[in-house]
Amino acid sequence: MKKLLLCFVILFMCSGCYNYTELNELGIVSALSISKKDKDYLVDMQIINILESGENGLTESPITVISGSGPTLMDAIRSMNLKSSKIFFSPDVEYVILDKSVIKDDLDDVVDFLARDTKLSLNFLVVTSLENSGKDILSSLSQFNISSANNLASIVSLSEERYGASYSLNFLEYLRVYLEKGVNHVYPNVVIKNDSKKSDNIDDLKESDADSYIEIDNLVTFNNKGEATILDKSEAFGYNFLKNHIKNATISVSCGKDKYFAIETLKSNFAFDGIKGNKLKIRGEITGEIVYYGCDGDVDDKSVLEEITDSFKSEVKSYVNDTVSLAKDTRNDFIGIGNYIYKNEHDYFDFDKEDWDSLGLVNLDYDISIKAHLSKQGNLKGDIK
Amino acid sequence: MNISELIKYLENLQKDMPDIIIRKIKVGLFKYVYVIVDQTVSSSDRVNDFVLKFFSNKSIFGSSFKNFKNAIISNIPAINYKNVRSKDELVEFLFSGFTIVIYDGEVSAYETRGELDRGINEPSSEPVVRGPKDSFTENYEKNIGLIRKRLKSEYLVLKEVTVGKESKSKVGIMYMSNICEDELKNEVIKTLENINIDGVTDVNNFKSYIDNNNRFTFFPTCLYTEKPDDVCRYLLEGRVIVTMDNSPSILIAPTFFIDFFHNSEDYYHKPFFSSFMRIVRFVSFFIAIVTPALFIAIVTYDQEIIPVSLLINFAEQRNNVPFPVIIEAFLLMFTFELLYEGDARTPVNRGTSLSILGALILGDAAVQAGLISPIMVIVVSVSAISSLIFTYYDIQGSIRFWRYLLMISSALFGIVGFVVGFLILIINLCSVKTFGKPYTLPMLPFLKNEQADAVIRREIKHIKKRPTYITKKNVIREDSK
Amino acid sequence: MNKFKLSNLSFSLIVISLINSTILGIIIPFMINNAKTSVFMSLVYGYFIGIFILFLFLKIFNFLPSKNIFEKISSVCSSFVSKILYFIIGILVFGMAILIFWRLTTFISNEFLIDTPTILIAILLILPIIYLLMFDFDVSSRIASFNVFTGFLMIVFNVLALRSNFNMENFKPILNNDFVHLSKSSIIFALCYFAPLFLTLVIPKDCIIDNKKTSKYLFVSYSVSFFVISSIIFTVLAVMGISVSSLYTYPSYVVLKAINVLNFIENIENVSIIVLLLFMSYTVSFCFLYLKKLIFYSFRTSEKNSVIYSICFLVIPTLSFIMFSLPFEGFLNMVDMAYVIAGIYFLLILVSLFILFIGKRKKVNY
Repeated sequence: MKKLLLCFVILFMCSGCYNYTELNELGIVSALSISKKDKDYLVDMQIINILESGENGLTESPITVISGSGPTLMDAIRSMNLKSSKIFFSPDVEYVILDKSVIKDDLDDVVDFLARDTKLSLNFLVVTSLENSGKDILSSLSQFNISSANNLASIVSLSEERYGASYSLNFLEYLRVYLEKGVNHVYPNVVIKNDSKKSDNIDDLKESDADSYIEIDNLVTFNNKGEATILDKSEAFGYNFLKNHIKNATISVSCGKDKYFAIETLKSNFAFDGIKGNKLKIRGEITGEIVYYGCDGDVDDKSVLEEITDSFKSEVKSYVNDTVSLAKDTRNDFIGIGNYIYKNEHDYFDFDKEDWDSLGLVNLDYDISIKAHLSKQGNLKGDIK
Repeated sequence: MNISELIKYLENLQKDMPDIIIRKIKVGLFKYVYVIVDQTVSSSDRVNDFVLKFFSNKSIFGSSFKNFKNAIISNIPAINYKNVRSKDELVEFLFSGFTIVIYDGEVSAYETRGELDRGINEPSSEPVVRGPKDSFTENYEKNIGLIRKRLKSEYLVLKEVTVGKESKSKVGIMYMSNICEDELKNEVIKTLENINIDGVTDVNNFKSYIDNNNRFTFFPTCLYTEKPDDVCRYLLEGRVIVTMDNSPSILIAPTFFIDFFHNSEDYYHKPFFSSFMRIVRFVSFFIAIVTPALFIAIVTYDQEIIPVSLLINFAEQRNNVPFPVIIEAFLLMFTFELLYEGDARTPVNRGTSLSILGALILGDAAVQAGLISPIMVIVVSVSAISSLIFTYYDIQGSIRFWRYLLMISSALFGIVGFVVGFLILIINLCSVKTFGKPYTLPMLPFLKNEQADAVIRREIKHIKKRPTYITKKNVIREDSK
Repeated sequence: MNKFKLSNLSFSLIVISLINSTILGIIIPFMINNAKTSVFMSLVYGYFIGIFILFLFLKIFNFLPSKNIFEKISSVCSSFVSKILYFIIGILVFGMAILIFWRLTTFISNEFLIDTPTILIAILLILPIIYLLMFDFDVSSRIASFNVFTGFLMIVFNVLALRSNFNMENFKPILNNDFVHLSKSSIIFALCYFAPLFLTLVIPKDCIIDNKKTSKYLFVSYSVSFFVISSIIFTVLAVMGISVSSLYTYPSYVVLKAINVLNFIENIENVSIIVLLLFMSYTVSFCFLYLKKLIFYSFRTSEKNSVIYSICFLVIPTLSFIMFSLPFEGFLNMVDMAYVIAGIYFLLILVSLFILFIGKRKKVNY
């Protein structure tokens, strides 16, 4: 009896390891780009090369870009196995570029693929590019870092925190917005500045002043018909204020001819406050610090401070106004007003039977009220003048 | 007993054992006293000074027959007197160093044992930083003396049993009769009395007898120690100790898993420090078993757990190595086992060449030759260093076994295999029972009242009770009034 | 056979370890799909139904306290009826064990070891269960203590690590789902979550030291466990929202993919989910121990033989079920396991109540 058990156990041990992969067989995918040409999907992958460490400088490229195409996404990816000796390892994907050709068509296939895969994490960013192709962006080599060639993910998240007019779209958030009613996606727009043909040249990295580099240009949103709308700086600020994505943004406000003061926001809290009649109430509260004062008047003076606060409030109000009117004009609810109404004021509009973007949003009025608290920052008492 | 037959038997023995000396002393007309001694085990000084000197005192000669016989029985200046009743007993006493005196049908034995052991030294296998530094020796009386001088109590009881047909080893079982539970001591005594064997060389031979129910476990279930202060601590908790002639170790029953993480030095430092060290011991036990297996599972099956920069580093290192991870791990672990075993057996004056070899194999040379990767050296070293914290040798054996089992299971199935292997370890641990009580007390099942001295130690003045899972008799440690 | 003694704490830890077995892939997707954002209301209702189930359990537990369920059946009913009842109970508990084992195996096969054949994973997972079959319930109680200690630590760590991803907007709209859905969700939750307590009837009350306080310990352990599952559901909803959670088969696993601590600890869902695997395999092993006792009482064999019989009659059919259900995996995934398991527990409660009813009528002496 015991011998039988032992035989069984030994046989079991010799069964072989099916999921065993050595580390050097892995091709670590750090970014993906999905686009569509005619009826075929084009997928590009950025794979990290395992370089020998301790070499002087960089003589070979730290990344490889492989492309594949096919009628479905899985076909496109598996066709890349004809060109690559590595097993694709996807848990460390940092961002995915969705081309406008894919966003205009039905996004269902792409989202299904990205959500169904068991190895992909939910933390990667989703970006788009209106001017350059996904492959160009993946191949560009500016700002080398060993874990991802152009560190685009860090640029996007830092710019959200520090600049204020940008936004990092996490895939979990993307999925939620995709499935819910009354809100559309807003993507950060990635652009290769200057000469995009030189961006994949490794010699470019050897100079301190790079010829071409990656930049986050603006935010862009697409409506149901696939038309793109670019949000300029003030509209992007308004959007970020409304969604409470602002962390440490700096807003410069003009106080006369060529004179400005700058406010850095510390805390910002905007909320929709219900609908009365046909009017949506938008309420906001901002705390900030004065980081630059170049106007006339003494900052320590209470009346001057009140003036500054009022100008700041009206500036922010204009941002929010621009954003909401842009949404209404383009019939594209990217802010999420419809989503708020669906969740909180369910009786106001029937989302199942009518189209919110073209019927509900257009007829909605709104009323903005903002409170601001400012204080001074820095070593200076008063100002330099 | 027939004296002439006895003398003939002894003279027969003497032909093959020239170390037996038979001395015939004339003490009167036709009166002879036979003095028999085995000079290898007895001290000739004592035989001369105490037994032969008595017979050289001519004033006792000439007294009446009966008086002389009484004089031999009661007046020979030797404190340990035994009346020998059979041939087997005579042989046992003769080879235990006693002097046999035969006169007129009366056979007596007087102790004149020679000192055949080393003196009381520092413990060799359990080094001590703070606290008493004496240890047990091979002398039975000295060992019991070291215990008695620490526990000067009327309740410290000693029961003696002879084990082994040819070796006739004296085995002593000690316990505190007002603390130890009767069932426990009866079971130990009964087990030892029923042993039917020709000879035992060391008290550790009794482990499999005392611990018969736990044959299929890979955890150490019987504790032994060389330090008298440890033994006294265990006696005061209500445990039973087993000591043997010619053995410097003492067995302790019952033993729980947590005893292997306790040290007598814990009670000589501040509570914070001892609690910290106990937690370090638990963590290092866990690390020693788990590290190679976890590393293999993460690197070959679940690589997503590793951050990207580390992943690239590891992949770079593994590029140069021809072996799969599991083979590399086994090779290195086996090399370490060879080094460890060699270190334990090598005499001190050859130790330096061994350390140089070890450094070569496990160090830079092997990495640069492309045989192993640096990260594997680190993983194996971490596991090995964690296991060196335990001076108790049996735990090393159990760590080794579980380490290899977990490595195999995680090489086959990744993290899932690791968890299943760990579950089997836990089931094995929980299924052990010592003398009817669970081995993992007081942690599982969790006894809230016993936690004063389990992992985190409170101040000694607050530990007022003995562990109730060992004994329920006389639980409060009272001080003398 | 009943020579062991348990403390109150060990018994309640066994109960906690048993009731948390159906969280992964069975209760949570069912409740989220049915009750939507009113899931917290259904949790509260389910808690009160659970208190009622606890009350029923205590009645049966206190009746004939020195006997376990099998001895109660044989002392209350005639031998023919008791054989039928043994058979019914055996089928119910075996079905439960197989379902949970199947869920565990398919989960690991889908998420961890994708290329490995499912039957090998099943053989691997059944090894500790076979090993545990050779012992008795006191060893089982120690394993349960270990499971609960490590499990709750991991759950606390997971919830704290996901705290930064909480988004309170995900709880709206607080739609008032119609009463049918809400009550369905509450009843199924109560049956799947609180009713595994009835499996512990195999331990007689007299085996517990100081058994007057048992009901208090049970109540406290219920509440603590309920708090834990509420926090898991709260985390799932707060991070992902209703629409995303309804997509997945295992939402409590997918939510762990969002853990990102200091940009260093990422993608640790494979390690964090181990706690639920421990609970599930513990329940399967407890059911197998239960059935080993059933074989012991119904066939009146020796203890050693009952181990061998249980390996033949339990392990081999389980593995065969896994093997033969492989082609039907998609179909079985669509069936709501929660209904089946709730049905099994409901029948188990009915059988126990039936025995109590007959026992009280006959006024059986102790």
